[in-house]
Amino acid sequence: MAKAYRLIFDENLCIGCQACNVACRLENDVPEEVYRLQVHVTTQGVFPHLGMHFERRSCVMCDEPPCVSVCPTGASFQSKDGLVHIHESQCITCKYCILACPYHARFINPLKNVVEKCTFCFDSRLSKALDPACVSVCTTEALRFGDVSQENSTVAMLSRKETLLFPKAHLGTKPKVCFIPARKGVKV
Amino acid sequence: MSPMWGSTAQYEVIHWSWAIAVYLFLAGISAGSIIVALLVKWNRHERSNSSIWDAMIKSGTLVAPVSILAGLFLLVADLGRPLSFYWLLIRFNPLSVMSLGVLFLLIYTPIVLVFTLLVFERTIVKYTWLSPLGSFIEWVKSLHSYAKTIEYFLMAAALCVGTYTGFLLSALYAIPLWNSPVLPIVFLTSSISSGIAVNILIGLVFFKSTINTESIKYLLVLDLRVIMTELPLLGIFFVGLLYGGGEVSSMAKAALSHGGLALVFWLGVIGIGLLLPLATVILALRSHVYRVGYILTNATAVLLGVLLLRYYIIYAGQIYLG
Amino acid sequence: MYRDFEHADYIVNFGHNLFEGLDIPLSKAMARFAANPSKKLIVLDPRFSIMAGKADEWYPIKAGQDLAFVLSLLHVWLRDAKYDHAFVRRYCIGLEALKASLKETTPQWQERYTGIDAKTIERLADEIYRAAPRCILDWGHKATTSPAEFQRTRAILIANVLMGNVEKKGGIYFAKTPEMLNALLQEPLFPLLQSPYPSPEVGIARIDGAGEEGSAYRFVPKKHGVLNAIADAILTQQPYAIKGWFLTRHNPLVTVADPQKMRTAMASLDLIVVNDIYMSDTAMMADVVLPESTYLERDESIHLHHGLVPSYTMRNRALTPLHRTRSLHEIVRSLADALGFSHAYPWKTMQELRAYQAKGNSALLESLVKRGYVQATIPHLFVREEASVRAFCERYAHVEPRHVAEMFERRRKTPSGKIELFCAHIEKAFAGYGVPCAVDMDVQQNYPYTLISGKSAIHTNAHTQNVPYLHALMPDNPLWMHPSTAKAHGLRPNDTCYIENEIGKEKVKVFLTEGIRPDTLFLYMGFGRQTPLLPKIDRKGSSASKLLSLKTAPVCGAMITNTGVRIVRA
Repeated sequence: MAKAYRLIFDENLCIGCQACNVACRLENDVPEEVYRLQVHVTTQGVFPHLGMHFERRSCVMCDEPPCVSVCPTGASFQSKDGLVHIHESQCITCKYCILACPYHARFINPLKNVVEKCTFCFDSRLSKALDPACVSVCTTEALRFGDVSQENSTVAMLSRKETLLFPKAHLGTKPKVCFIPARKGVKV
Repeated sequence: MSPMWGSTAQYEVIHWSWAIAVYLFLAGISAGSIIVALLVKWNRHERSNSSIWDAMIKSGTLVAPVSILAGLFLLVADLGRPLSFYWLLIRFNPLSVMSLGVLFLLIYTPIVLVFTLLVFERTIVKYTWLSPLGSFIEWVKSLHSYAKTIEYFLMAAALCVGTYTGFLLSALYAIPLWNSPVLPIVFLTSSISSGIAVNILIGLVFFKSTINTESIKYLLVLDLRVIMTELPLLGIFFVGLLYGGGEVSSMAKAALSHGGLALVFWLGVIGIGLLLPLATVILALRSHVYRVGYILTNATAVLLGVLLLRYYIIYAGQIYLG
Repeated sequence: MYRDFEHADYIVNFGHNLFEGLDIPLSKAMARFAANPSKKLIVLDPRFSIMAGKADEWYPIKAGQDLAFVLSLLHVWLRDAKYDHAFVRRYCIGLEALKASLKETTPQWQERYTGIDAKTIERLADEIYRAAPRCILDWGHKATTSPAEFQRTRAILIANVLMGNVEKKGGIYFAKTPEMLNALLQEPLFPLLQSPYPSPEVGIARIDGAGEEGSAYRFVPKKHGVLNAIADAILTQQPYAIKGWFLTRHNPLVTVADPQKMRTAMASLDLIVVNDIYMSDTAMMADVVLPESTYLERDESIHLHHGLVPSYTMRNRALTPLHRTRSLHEIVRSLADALGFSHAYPWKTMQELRAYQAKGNSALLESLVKRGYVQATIPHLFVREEASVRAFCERYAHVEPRHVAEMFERRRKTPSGKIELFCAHIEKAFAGYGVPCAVDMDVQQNYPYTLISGKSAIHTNAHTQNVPYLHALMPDNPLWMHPSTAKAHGLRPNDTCYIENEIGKEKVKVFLTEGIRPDTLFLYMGFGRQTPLLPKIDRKGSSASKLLSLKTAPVCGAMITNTGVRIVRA
């Protein structure tokens, strides 16, 4: 059966420590000044009724990726297991895909001058059955990764138990990254 | 929480900048000018060389290839890796409006060049330094019998080129200010209006020595009709955005009221590009004073307005993302 | 004392920001706790920290007033007789003295100190009692301190005691040391480690008087000492002239109060040797710098970690040193050679050191080399938790519940052998401090604002600010300020101004946030450095230490890290 990858980000467990941010940079040689992954932490509300929110900002690996349908050269393509990759040699850096991404997950690598984004660490880890770097270092185990089509996988069990929100779901992109929303704090 | 997740500069980058705005303008002018030239050609029966209409046909036929080639050059130069542009020619993605655009341009550009040669055949023959094209011209002459067919294909290709730029932007549902079905209509209309303006401008300056009052009056009224089409269309476009759900509405509000960019729209696009020519025309028609100068000013103002519209849409879309 | 966060149902957190001041095992346990919808987390902190962001209820308590809050809780429990009577009767003394001391510390009384409503205190006291014994009142580590540090932490511990959570699952517990467990199990299941370093009798008075009779710091353990006492000891040359200072992995010019004074003191020394991996502010004052390899480049000794079950860890180097650096062990051993003390060290290399520690236990050494971590799996033992004791005794047939009880009661850490709610020996040395009472809480001291500080998860103390990847995330530390405070001073985001008090004056950049009390200001620690060889951070950001006094908290000698300041426009 085809793989159905899912990455669950539990906002309740995330503490915004950026260990994932740094691990991603090291694993993927991300150049300075640009990021494949950041966790944004915002305080909402008015003192003393406040809430703190943690938002993972990175490619959500859509099942229906707009970045693939807009690419004129096929440099941005989707593999059989649903992952979206970039053929560096075929990328003409027209930036159409960067604009097409509703999650603003793509950027230009200033050293190679091609478009880049999170790949779930496919080349160095996922293709060797290892979890992406961010998942492996998360201080509080806020990130869970796996194949949701496998009944007994962590992500499948968590998906059955928890309320999952898919970012910008109304756009029909069907992201593989979803989150368990924070239960505490003021939400504005 | 004080920021500690790293620079967010990459989210603020304007990826499609002035070069793309100018390209959209040039593509629009190219398609618009040739569409107008063809329409004039199909509707005029006299073959008088000194009429303004002939001048407009000649202008369109000249402007179209020059502007599209300049535009294509800009496009390739703006790529992050210009030398890799050949991938656009050897790969095709039917789902990508950009890929479709490349296809349309690959069809449109040679046809427009052939059409130019057909129209300026006699001029080319006159100038000896263009004689290398001689043998090519002979072949082109043989196509004379297919002239009407070529013109129909050219019209179709030009409409595609003039419209696809709008879809290029509106296909991106990630960008609230672009994702409107009215945008392609706005762009096509605007490109036709720019076609009329540039043909009048170039036609008067380069191809016509005299013009009579009747013609001037006719051109001014034409201007009026075009502006009265564009203004409501722009209105529909923005009102549509303002009634859009959630962030579309707030982004549109912000884009129309904040800072220098809003000024570009109200002063440049509306003020100079539409209201100034409108005022000039109404004034002229009322006072019955028809000067060539009015027409030239109007044409320039309209062209500036069209360029600024492209600029405004491109930048506003990327700044007001929500 | 250790805290069983995992199994608690209710935790009251007193500014113990484990989500920014990381302590990985505790941070993980607290994260799991806070994310569990069936548990309740109360956080008291003047700032809306990340820990506060995970709270079910966050109370922006006024800085330094934790003691008032706890005393009112204790008052309510004693007033309503809602505490573990059996435990207190059996294991504690001084209950009457405690009751007498807390007669006035009512929920109404504490309102004007903490800003927390009296009704809230009543409700929380009731909720905590109902959750007991699976409740924890968390005294923290590295929460910012007030002069009431001793009173506060003791009061919090007494609160735990009254709730009867001592040696209960989900409560607090004593470490089950290898010696205790080996004796209980009657087999040497847990290896005992030999100390590889000689501990000579020094024979002269300590400069801080820690643990010495008649000293203000007689109750401070010798292994901790009182950092704040160093600068004055050097400057006054009491109890004797100090000529030199060997610092290892310590940057007091950033982490200790009044670095201005410390600088003057250090300048008067004949010899300063600094062992560090960065050219820190303190290293810049050194005569000799002994650069150490980073944790990835060094083999370390075996560490024994206490808890429910003892564990052993040992760092193994991942790569050979990139530069001419050495591990601290190598440095010390070479110095010993050079100074003619080789005979005092029964080892030469790290391998020999480890073997010496493990007393030749090759099985232990092999596991530690391979995995770096060894922990035997034995059932968790909570002495007062019936089910836990039963499970333990079932597993080890020769162990009976009374053996376990005896192990617990053999602990005689106090003069009376019991938990002292009233400490006679402390009362003797510090009149009025024998029993919890409301003293020493004022940190603001007639200034309009209190400056507090804390850690961030990005940087480690005052070390890593220059590391490129971390610096990119957090290059400086703007001052947290409530918008109403900024408005009152005509300040806008990113404006610069000064904060000052009688100790010092520091330039700051303003960060506006709703996440702090209007009368409080906050700085992340570790910036405001003087490190010309660490150019990324040299003179960037601000140092709260420059405004802290070297005066210490009574009895415990703690550095006081809350301080009053005023805002001065640029």
